[in-house]
Amino acid sequence: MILEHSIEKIISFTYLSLSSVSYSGEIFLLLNGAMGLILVKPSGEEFASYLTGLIEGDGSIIVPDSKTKSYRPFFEIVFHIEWRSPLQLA
Amino acid sequence: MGGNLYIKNNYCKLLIKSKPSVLRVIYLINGYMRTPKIEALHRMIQWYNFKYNYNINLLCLDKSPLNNNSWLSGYIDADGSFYLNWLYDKKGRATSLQYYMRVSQRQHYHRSSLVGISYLNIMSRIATFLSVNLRSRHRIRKNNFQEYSYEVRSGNYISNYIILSYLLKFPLFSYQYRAVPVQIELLIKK
Repeated sequence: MILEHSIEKIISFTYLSLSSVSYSGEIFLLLNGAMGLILVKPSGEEFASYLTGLIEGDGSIIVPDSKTKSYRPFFEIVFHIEWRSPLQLA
Repeated sequence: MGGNLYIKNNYCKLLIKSKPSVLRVIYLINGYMRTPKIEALHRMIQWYNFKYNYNINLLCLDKSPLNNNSWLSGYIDADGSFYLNWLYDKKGRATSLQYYMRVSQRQHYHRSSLVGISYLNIMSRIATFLSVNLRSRHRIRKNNFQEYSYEVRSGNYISNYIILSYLLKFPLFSYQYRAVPVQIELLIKK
């Protein structure tokens, strides 16, 4: 059972009252005919490629020009406040 | 991964500034880039290579199929949206539900890049992956700002099936993930 194996990796759990759909696997968990949605921390290549897509979409890669000495290059990702969960992966 | 999270009124910002964290992210994302933004990553790597005499490789664009990894999930979490709209007849009665995923992106990257500045290639690949047409949009924003963008919509059964199957394998991690089971139920009921 996924909950037993990955309890430490679970980011959030959402109860959804959809009674007509049933799935098994890492994302969906059947609970007495209703459905729950769990998010499990990705690992390895899955996390790296997800992060790349996130940075390519909403991220900024800021690199100073050769004359600027006041800061080093950095990454910045901005989200709406309700979308915080991707940042919890960090 | 490191970094600092700043929470403001209606947004939050993750800043990754320390050298070890930035290097970790560089090593994580190097080789997975698929858009002209790879130019900025290469500039960053060159900055570190020059400043600290490192030898980090400038890996090229990832040309592997989109369903090979979670890149598209991250991209949808950033630039995609899920829609659920009622369709009405002439008398204003709701007749059906329209549901789709939409991902949009500007047409051109703002700096010159060795891999080109157009987002046409990656947006075409997303459209082909979903078996839909790529749309080109032109909008006039505030202060007469001209916005040119590409847009992909999963507007039919096949494309919704493809994207929802993909998102079951490579889930979203933003608040939008809640839309996925709702859209799956609508897809199955159709």
